[in-house]
Amino acid sequence: MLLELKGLTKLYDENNGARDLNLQVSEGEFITLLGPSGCGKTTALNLIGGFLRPDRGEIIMEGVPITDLPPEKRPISTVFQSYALFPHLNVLENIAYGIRFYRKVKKKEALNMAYEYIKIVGLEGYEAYKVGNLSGGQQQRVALARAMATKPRILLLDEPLSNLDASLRYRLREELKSLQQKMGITMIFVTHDQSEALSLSDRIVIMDKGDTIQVGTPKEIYFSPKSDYVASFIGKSNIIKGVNGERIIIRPEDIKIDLDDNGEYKIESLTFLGQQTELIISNGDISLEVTALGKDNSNFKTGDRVNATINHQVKI
Amino acid sequence: METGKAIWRERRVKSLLSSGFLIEKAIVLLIVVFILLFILYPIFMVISTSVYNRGVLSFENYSDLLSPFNLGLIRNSVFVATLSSLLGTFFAFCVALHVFFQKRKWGELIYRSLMITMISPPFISAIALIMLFGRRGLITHGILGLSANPYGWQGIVLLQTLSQISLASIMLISALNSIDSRLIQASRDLGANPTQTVFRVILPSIFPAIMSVLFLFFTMNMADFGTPIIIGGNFNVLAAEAYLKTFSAHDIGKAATLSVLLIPPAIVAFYFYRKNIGKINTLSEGARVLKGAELNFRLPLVIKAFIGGVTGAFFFCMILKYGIIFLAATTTNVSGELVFTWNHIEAFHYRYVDALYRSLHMSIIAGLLSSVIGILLSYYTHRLKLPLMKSVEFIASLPYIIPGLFFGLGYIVAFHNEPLLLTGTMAILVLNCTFRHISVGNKAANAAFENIDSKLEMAARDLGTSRIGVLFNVIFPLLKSSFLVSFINTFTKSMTTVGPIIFLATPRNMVSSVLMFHDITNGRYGLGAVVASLLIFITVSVNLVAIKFLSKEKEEKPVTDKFLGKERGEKHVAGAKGFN
Repeated sequence: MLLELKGLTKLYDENNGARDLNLQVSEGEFITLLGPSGCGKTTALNLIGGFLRPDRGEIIMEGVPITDLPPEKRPISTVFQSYALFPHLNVLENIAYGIRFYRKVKKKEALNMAYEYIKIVGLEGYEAYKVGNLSGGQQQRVALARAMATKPRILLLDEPLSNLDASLRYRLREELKSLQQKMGITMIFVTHDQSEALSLSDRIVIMDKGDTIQVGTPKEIYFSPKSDYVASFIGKSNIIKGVNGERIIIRPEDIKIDLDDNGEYKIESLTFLGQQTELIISNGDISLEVTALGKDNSNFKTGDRVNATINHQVKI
Repeated sequence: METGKAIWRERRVKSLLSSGFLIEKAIVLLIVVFILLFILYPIFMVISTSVYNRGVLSFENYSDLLSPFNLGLIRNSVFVATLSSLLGTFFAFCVALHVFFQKRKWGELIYRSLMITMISPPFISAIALIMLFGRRGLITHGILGLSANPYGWQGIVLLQTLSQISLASIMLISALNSIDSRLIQASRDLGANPTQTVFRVILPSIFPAIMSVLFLFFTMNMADFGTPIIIGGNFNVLAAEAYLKTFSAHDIGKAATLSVLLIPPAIVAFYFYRKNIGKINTLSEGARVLKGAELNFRLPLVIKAFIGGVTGAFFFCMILKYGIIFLAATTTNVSGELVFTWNHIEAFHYRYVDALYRSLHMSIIAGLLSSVIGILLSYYTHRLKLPLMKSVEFIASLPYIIPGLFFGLGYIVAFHNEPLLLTGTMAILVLNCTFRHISVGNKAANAAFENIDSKLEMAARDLGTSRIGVLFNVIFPLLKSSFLVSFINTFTKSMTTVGPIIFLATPRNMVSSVLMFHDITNGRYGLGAVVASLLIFITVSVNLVAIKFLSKEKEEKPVTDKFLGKERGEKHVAGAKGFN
């Protein structure tokens, strides 16, 4: 086991901080901490990075407790939200910073070594730029290169894509994924964006108000949510009461509807969104949200009667 | 029921008749004329006085500067000012670092104490120094039995260094607080230990602030004539000579030349100051940023002990200073023994009642005027973006840059002839204080406006308020705290200022701070101590009330958090100048 968190707790007050966080991370894994702002994911990251001291709990790296180590002694590097690049240093000097101080290499050699990482992130020609003169995407790459240049055992990423516009965010997400696979770096990634989490992660940790709610692969999280909170935070879902009082979660895209004049359900409203049409159907008792894909499914009208087939459902 | 059409017809007629437009034009014109007349004109007059000799253009005054006597003065001034500003900045950095890494409560307490020790008339520490270490000093003579001599450059350096630590620390603390704490985290994350982080990240980040403090105090120390006159003994400096030239020899040309020399370092200080403020403004907005105290940041024990020791020693000196001044106010030295006496307080009663009343009168009016004009200037420059107002605003910031002595000289040469004969009146004092501090209100308002959505005014106009109505119904209510900050700053500085008004206060319009200076230079330390205590008491109480009020406002409106911080920075920087 590369990294183990045992009962890690740091509370600012009742609802702020991280409570009793347990997690095991293996070599090469991509873990995402996902939750709304204030859920404790950044606190968790700061604890792992060594910027905060936990109230309780332990951090163990390859069997060695590192809870009391300061950040500069941990084999962990962080890509900060809004990057935290040193404004008084240029691109190359920023990247060389960790090589000098963490890897204890002489300045001149460190600058040479930093070129390697300039190449990895594709910033050749920008070595002498002041970081203030770079675009958001370029700053992002510098931050990534700087963190990787210490050859960390674990890379922490604190919402690294959140300051970028949508198309750039998508591109860098792909780059990050392929970089991770190529270099085999273990990453812990913090985000509030579910599509980032689902597309990048090996495992996702869902957090809320400081508590860990569920840990699992993207598929487990999506198809077998453990609670209403997880179900509604990731994707959309219908939550209905079962016969024995249990709660049943049905994803809107798992409901198929067919026109039938004697159908059980009536279409209450619909919204056409291009690739999909979102409908709300009701049988008087319950109403369900339905997502219907494709052109064939775009011809329903409000007031139509339909039959609904539920393909998948999960009990919680 | 009135129809929309009818309301509109009526409004249209009214707005054609409205005088608001004209009133507004008149206000803008008045502001511009005032700023040109009471800031630019006096500055211009000092420079022109320095290059005209009996009505003829000549650089005689400047070539005179190269005489061996003057070169000696320049050397002395540069030596003392450099040494004190280096020492002061270094110690202030230690105090600031100490506060930055303190737990919130304790740090806050030190910060508040720094704010209070900042408010004190200049050169009064000299009273304490002479009381303790003078020929009849309590320590040198009373305890050690020596006849020591505190007069000389060492005394000047000691007092100048001590007097600038409070303000310098506060400026550096706000610079430290403005560092994006993720930079500090990143540095640690990349393997730099706390000490390396201080030298590689923290110091470079606040470098502009340090340079700004250094040059600001270099300028202030160069321009400081009070301390050298009281404690310098035979050691003479440029500013003291300029003062004596004007005061006893009435050679205003020489004095003007000497004070023009003080301008270049002031401009350098201002340059770094702007750079620093610009940096703070563009500080990246991010998620919750950790404060220094919350960072897991442990300096090595040696450094920690050193900066803690410097802070402790500084506050020990401050307590000693205030203690001795209060003691000096109520005792007299009878052959080495301190004996309680009412004499100083009685003397105060005879000599100071009128002067104190005039001080209050002057400071309150100047506070009100400079705040209103400062805010209006900001409104017309940055909100309505009237053409050329940026240049006017720059002119308004000049008194904030130049030494007080210079500004005071400007008023003498500019306003001693008809039709602008103002010398010897209350008006000249009020105008001097008003325009000297106008940029504080202006900058506080600028900062506040940055946080007020400009759509508010559009909405008010859209809902039927006139241009002038917007000012009274929207702008002024929103800028209450900017107004208060500006008022308190001008009030405090005007109550304690000496440099800029020393030539303007004649027996007819004498104010207490200037009178106190004369009493102390004439060796009436007990009386000086009474006045100093009273001025400290008045200004500190007023400031404490204002701080209380401002922090209450801040709690009510958390949005303004940022701008209060910024205002505070501005306030302190401006505050420095009144002490010259």
